Amino acid sequence: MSIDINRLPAEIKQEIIQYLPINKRLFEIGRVCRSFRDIINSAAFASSHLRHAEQRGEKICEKYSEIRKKLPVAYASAALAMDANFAIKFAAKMGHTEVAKLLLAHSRKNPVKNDGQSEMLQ
Amino acid sequence: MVKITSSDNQEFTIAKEIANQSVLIKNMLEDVGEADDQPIPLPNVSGAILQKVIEYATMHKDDPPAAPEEETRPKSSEDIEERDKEFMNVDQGTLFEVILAANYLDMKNLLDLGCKTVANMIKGKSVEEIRKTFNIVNDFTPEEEEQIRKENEWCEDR
Repeated sequence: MSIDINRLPAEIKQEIIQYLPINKRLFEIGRVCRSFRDIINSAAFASSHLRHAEQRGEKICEKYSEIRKKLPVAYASAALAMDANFAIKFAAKMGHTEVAKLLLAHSRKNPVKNDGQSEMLQ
Repeated sequence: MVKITSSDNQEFTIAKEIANQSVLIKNMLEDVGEADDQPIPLPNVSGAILQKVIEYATMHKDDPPAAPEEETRPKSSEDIEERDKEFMNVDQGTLFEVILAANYLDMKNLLDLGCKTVANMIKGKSVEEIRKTFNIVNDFTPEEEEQIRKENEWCEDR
């Protein structure tokens, strides 16, 4: 009896998907099957995926300035709500000051975690 | 030397530095102490897969330990040593069993290697190609597919 990808526990599937680049193709992953969709749609996973991608030095999306249009809903919401501080730093570091400002404005309107990241944008 | 037995009762005798690459076995050895020469049972891993895992551990026994900051830092899935690529050139069933074994035995490097290998098999493929490659059944209802299509519409190029 041979096992297949469906038999892997969710945490290993997450490990695998974390290695995929964050771009439009990620949507395709969510269309493959329910278990993949559930991973992609999880804001917690999105947040950890963003970190992973940043640490391995990946450029996220060709047009990062369109973050809200291009990233899966979960990624945008993770960036905006769950971990605004990280998202803003990330955007600023990648040279996307426009996005960083946008995220900062959003996080001020919807304060979740906003601890003095504004000085980075000055 | 350390003795380990697989789920199908195959016994392997391996050097301690090879055994210690598995955090699970390392902890077990520390718990039972040096004196005990009873084989360690590994009921979740078959002999064939254990053989493969030992092959990996032997190949990497002289690797310098990673610096703490390097250890936690994820690498790109493109970043795989040539010998590891060759090692992972196996059928899918073996690949997934090795991943499960690495997870169970707590061998981070081998688990990462397995996950990178699978990620590289996914990269650049369409939905249909991914399903076909991994024998995944489309378990969405037509209504759900339609809904996902709508959700994804806003991300398409205008």
